[in-house]
Amino acid sequence: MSKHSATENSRREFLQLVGAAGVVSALTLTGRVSLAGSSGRVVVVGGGFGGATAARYVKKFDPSIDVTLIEPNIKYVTCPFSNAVLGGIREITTITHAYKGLSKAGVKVLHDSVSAVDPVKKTLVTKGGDSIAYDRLIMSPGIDFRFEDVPGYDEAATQMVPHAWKAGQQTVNLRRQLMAMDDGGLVIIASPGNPFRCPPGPYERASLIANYLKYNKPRSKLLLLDAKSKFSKMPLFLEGWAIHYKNIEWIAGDKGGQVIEVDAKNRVAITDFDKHKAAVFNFIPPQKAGAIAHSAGLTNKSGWCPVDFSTFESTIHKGIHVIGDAAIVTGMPKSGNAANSEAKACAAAVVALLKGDKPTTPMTSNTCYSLITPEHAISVTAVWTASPDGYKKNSGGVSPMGRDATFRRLEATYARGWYANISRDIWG
Amino acid sequence: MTNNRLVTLAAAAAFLACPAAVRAGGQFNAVLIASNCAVCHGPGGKSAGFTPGLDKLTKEAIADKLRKFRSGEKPSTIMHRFAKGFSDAQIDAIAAQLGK
Repeated sequence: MSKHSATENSRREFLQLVGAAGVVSALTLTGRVSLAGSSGRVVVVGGGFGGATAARYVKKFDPSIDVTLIEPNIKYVTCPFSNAVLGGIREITTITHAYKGLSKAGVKVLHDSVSAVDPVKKTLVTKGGDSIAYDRLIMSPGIDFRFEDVPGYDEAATQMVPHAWKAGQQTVNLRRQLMAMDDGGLVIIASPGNPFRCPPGPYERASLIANYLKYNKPRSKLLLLDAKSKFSKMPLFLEGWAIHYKNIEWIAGDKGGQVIEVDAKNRVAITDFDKHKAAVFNFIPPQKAGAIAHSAGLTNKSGWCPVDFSTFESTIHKGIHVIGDAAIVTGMPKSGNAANSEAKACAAAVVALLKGDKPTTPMTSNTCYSLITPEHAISVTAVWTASPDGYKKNSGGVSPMGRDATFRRLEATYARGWYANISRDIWG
Repeated sequence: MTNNRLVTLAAAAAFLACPAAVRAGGQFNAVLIASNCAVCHGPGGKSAGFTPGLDKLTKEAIADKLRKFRSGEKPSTIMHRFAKGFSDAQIDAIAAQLGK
């Protein structure tokens, strides 16, 4: 502080307050805000739950910052509620979002992809040929798949054996295969080991596909092959399956459930002990941070991105923040809501850092609903506070066991509310 | 009027317009904590449906509900799991952000 003049201190305080209170528009008429200096250029890479939230909230917390969001797709299809599309209870259009809302909020949206990042010069280059300078870069690149770990499974194999773990064309592909399947056909879902995107996701997917089979292909079964022996919300899923589904069989990792090789052409899942032939085979591969995180040198040996827990700044490259599924955020799950909450904390930190202020210790939260049927949902929630070792849970937990249908229906209603509102919070 | 004085006056105006929790600026950022409520209750507490909105509630009502969720006096599906994560000061600051 001592190195700043009184003027600078006042200016910094002013900007901090203006940014936080969002009253800049009334004051820009004086021209003094621009004299005080635009607070900087923030570039956000990736327009999913993390990136789109970060772009919106940097702008919201400090409208004087120039914010650019780079995302290759014109529209974003969410993984949350894509299992409802697979189960035939939602249309994909209802989980597809455009970026007009972000543009209206003052974010410059550039539909392009990043081909290279220079953390020293603080510039990045897009495939479209633009060179863009930043003061702070926020990366939310999501996941990519460890094709190298699974013999027989590669990009080409994803058409015959979809992963549907990035929503969109893959979701439509898997849904079409399920609809085209003969009654009596076996559906296989293979679930990966930890860590991976959306820990309860494979089990919600099994539930909603089993729901579709129950009413449309009553002779069909669903076989869930798992690399793990325990999974998220497990007692609640098992309770729900016992009530609703006789058509799910789960094979745990310690019972030989891990798929170690894929015969995509014949839709065969190969484990240590068995070969399982499917009519429809959904292989959810092991994962790592999205490709750009690797090429930008932001990953460690684990394949994910280490970050400072207070600011989400990379511990490898200063000036670059990583949020969402790609980041190692000890204590928090890889979920869309967690990415949204991390993004807000990161946005607050970036705004503070650009002003030369010390970021506050962030608190984050997560709400994750899973549908077992369209009217039976369960949840896990948490509130965390950042510490040097990771995010420490203040409170949280899962839905209670043994509750009646009314309680489960209420959670299903709130699940729809969560989706409607978080979508507006991000893309609306 | 010098730039310095103008900026100081503007800062004072902004200061008054600014929520207390941000001014406090210390241990926690109430604007940040409250921003997380939007995921279920809607941006600005205006819900798109299914989940109760918060925009018609006073800050006193929000603080009271959060305390009752926290103590278990008011039944809930998930709110008690959240409310237990917040101190009295945090509850009041969140309520001040979201309430009328």
